[in-house]
Amino acid sequence: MLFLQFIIDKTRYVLAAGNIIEVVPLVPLQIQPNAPAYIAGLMNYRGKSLPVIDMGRLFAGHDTALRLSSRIVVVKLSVPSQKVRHIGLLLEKATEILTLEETEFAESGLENPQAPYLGKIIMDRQGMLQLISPQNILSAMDLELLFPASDGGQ
Amino acid sequence: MKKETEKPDDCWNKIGVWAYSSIRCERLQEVIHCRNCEVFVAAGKQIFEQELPPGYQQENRAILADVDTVTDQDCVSIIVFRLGAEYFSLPANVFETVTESRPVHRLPHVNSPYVKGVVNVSGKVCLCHSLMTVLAVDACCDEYGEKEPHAYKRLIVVNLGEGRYVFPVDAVKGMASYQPEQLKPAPATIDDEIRPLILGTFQDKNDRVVVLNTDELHRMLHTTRTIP
Repeated sequence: MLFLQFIIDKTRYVLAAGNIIEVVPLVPLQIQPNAPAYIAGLMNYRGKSLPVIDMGRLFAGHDTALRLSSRIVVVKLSVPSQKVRHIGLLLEKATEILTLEETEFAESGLENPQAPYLGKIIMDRQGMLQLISPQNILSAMDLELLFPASDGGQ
Repeated sequence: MKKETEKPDDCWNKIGVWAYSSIRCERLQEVIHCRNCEVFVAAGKQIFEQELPPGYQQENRAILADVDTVTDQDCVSIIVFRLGAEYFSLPANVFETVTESRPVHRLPHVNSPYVKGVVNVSGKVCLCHSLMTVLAVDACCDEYGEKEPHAYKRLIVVNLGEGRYVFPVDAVKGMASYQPEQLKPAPATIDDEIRPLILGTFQDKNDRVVVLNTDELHRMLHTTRTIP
């Protein structure tokens, strides 16, 4: 299976390529006042408004650096009682695609209810890689904020 | 583009792979050439770590806002190949591989007109069928030699549901995609026998491409697959 690697504060994470619709370069975002800090803003994605989550803010508490290696990854989420929805993740150092065997992933041994998006880990010579589940990045409450039920899906 | 603030140590320029260099890099024993070396790869990745050039985000915004560039979900990806003077295509997902042309060993006493013989595809013996005979296409003319300077005869290996088929083709043009509503019906001059094999035609730039029906093609080849 293919995975997209990204690095936040020297920690390496991977996203399964199957979840990814498209990796797009940085664009100016429409800032949302009074939104949670990890909401980087909205972008015009093919004529639709797409909420973008700053993963640097969510994971490490600092803004993702504006560099060529930072990219917005459009992933699909299945929202309860709605159709599949898209969301943008602003990732740092998302420059590498890895081929990993799904069977090589092991349980991390740590269940943190604060961070349900942290998944299984894989170990290699350079250290560890942790699988991120985009579906779990948003708690149920956030889903309500980002995809209000009255919206009815795309 | 802005220049990088910290320039990496460009050992590949200073030491390099040159035999006359007074200092020879120890890593070369293992990696043979700088381009295989992780130092070189890491330095290449540094390019992505630079600040955004002016206007970069605005330029991307214009591209991403453009609805027209969206590749529609309904699009069908196909691989276009040439037989004689005509372009045909099969869906990209039935393709297993495209390899260079190689000798086909004729099988004696095979009464199917479509079977050309057997051929070696990565160590496996596969039946080779002639799509030219199936589709009643005339063998080639020389004008394509000039039109496509890089056209070589190929073998296409496809999996039509349950059977693996190998077809020699005159050239593989590459991938294309069409939307189902773009398809036009096959010309009226086509034989009734061949008509079910053709899903339709569409215009791919300058060439008219015939889209083949994989189910019908499989059925036709399967029923005539009579090997004593």
